[in-house]
Amino acid sequence: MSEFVFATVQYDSGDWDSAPLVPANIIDAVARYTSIPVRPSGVNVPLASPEIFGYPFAYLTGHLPVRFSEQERANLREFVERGGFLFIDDHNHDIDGAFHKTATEEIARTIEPLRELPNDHPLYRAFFTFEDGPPTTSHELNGWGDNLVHEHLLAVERADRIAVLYSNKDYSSEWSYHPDNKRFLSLDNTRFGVNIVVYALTH
Amino acid sequence: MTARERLARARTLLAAATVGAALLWALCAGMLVYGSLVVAALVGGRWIGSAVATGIAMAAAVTVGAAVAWRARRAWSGSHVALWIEERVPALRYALVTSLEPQTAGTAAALENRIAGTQWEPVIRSAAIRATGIPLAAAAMALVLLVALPALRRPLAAAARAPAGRLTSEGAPVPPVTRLSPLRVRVEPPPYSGLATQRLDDPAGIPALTGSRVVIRGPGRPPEMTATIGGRALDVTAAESEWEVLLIMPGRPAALRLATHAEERLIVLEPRVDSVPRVTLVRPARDTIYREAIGALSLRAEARDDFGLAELRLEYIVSSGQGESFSFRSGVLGTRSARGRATTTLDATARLDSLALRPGDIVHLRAVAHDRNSVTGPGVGYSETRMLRIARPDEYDSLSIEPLPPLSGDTGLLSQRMLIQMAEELERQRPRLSREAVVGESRRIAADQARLRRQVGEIIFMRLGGESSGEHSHEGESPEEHAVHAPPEGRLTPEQLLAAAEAATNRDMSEALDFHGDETPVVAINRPLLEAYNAMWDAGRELDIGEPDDALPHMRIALEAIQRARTAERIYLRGRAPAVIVDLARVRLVGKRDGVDPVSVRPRDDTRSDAVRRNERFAAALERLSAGDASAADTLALLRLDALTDAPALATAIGAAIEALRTGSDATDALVSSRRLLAGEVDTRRTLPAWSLSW
Repeated sequence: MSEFVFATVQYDSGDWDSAPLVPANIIDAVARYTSIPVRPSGVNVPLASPEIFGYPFAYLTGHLPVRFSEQERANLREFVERGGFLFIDDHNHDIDGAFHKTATEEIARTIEPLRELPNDHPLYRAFFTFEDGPPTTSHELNGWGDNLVHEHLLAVERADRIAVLYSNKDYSSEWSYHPDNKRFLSLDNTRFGVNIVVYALTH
Repeated sequence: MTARERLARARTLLAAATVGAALLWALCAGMLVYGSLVVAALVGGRWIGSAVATGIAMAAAVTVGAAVAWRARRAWSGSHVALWIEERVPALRYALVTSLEPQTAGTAAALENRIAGTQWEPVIRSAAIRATGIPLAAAAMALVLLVALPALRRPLAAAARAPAGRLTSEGAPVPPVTRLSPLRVRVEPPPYSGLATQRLDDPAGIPALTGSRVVIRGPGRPPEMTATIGGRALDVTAAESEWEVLLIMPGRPAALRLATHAEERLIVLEPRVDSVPRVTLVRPARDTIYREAIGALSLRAEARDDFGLAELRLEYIVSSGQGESFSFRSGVLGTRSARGRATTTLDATARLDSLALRPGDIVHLRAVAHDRNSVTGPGVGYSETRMLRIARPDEYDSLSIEPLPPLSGDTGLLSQRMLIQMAEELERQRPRLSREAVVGESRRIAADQARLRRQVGEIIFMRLGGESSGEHSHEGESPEEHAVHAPPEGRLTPEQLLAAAEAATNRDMSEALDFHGDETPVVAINRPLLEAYNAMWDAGRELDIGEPDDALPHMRIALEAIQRARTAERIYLRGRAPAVIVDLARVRLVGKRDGVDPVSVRPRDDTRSDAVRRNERFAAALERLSAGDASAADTLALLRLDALTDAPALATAIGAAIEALRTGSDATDALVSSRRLLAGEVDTRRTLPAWSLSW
């Protein structure tokens, strides 16, 4: 059986590596709660490279505007059509920010417009149960970014499965800490990351 | 032959000619009549049907044939034939006619002598030829005309199959008029497209631009008639003495279904989609880094569209900030109204100081064009985005922070990938080559590998503004010409470079790469290239001794390192974040669900059978054994423990194998018997008949 590899998407236009600790934190969470074979460290994969097709799960984040090149756009389209799962998180937590506006525009242009994901979607029961939908982040509660708590995630679905999952809730900041520091948390806030990974691997 | 016999033969020949002529004239008449009827149908538009036309043609043929045969009926009478011959052969002097009357013996003999001396057969033959030749020529000419002329042949062929009714100019039958046929279609494209209105007569499909107004009309009244597209009903209205359906061409192909109580018809709607404009940002041609935000930036964008452009503009977004705090500004640097032109160009000049840029700011620049699609759009086309960055002051005395460009090697050098292919090919052909040939070829590849390695070394040093790596080559030099020079001060010698490469490749991956300790910028920044350099050294060493198979792993490592070096790398001036490697064994299944206590989660029970599990573990142990892993004995011990309760024979065999491994003796027999026991009883079946040799 091949192991799960956490792939971070590298794109040309922005700071794709703004959350270097997120991959390790999610890998740690997957190992803590599941028996899924997982590689101990993540990989960075250029979106313009055909290597992207070797990973069923990809994570994309940043603060700066997202402007895909033609090759990146073509690869992203192919990635989605082949059944890949792309998780995008706005590291700005700002729906008026350049990342959100440009990323959603690029997804609409490349694939199709994002739609709200209902809070009773199977994603929220894929491993842990989140009765109220996507968990709120401390950055939303502290008034960072657009000072809003976003009730829904956005998604593009293909054949009743999520192909692109988009978050305004700044999970990249929420999960940007060393996994060893989880011992100081009463409730592990990376559990939703486990749901995302398990959903991606099982749908 | 007597005169009577000769006369009888002449009569037979003339009668046959008469029949032939009648038939041929009948054929000519029939073809003429049929062809005339077809021509009349093409001209008049109405066809009486192939059956009726054939009947008429046959009647005409029979009539003409009968007339010809009646006219030549006297050819069947002997006396008339004799008279006919007498007229044409005066030398007979009526002897032939007289011979037909009763004669005395002496008179008959005299008449026979006179008749025998006269030849009339040529006259008979020429008359027969004349009688049949003319109608034969006429028939042949008519046939040639009807078959050879396409203007006649096609309508004839079509008419032969067509029932009674109207004919087109091609001779094809015009279908009878029903409420669903013929249809008249008028297509009015959207005004923005500038296309003219199109009219179609009874089409099977309607191609039109999406959003076009399509009006379909047919004969008859609308009651009891339906029109649907994909189950959605359309209104069928009355228009003068016809029915009419109005629809807007959809964005996707669809089938328009027209139905009455007696019939149904499908018409395919073929939408033509208005494509979005194609936009190119010509200047700036690439991403750029500026030291200061001064000066003017020349901009140029081009756009083209299939139905005309509305507008082309240049947009920018300025991102300011760093870390977790960013702010954004956006604007437009230039706009051009295209007024419906198919292509347009926008030139502009942007003063960098007018954008209020600060060090660290990033400008995203692109061109956007809109077309005039007022139906489904407007369609928007985008160019590639260019990034312009203003460098921070603290970057100047450090390293270039441009993304790593691809290796700019000499194009005359063989690439690492090509060298690998050559080495693999040599290895494949090795069994057929002599040792000298293998060594010679291998050394040639080694020489190319060495050249590529030197080029990699040059690139490493040129990154820092150096001119040469200092590595020199012994190739092409005589011992007298070669002189060893000490490298210029400050540059690494090849030995130091190689040592740095080895240090780079052997360094512990968990350490941070931000100039700690005595790590030089050469090592930190050029790690992948140094790895490639080191691997190329090892590969060259193996190739020099004629061992391409041992060189291949090093060559592949070098290729992979080169590939990594080509990927754009971001330099963290404040230090790269530590690469965190998760200790999976430590954290596996210790996650907290609620509160503080670790969750008691265990993996699902293994539902595979014991035999399957043991086979897998045994195979894993053998693999470790072949790799010389000492833990193979431990694996076998655990397997023995697992088998003690329900497979004692297997446990015994594995025990013997473990003992053999511990004492250093040959464990093959014990392992083979263990494998046999794991495989279980062999299932023997008698499916072949018994053989017996009997001579």
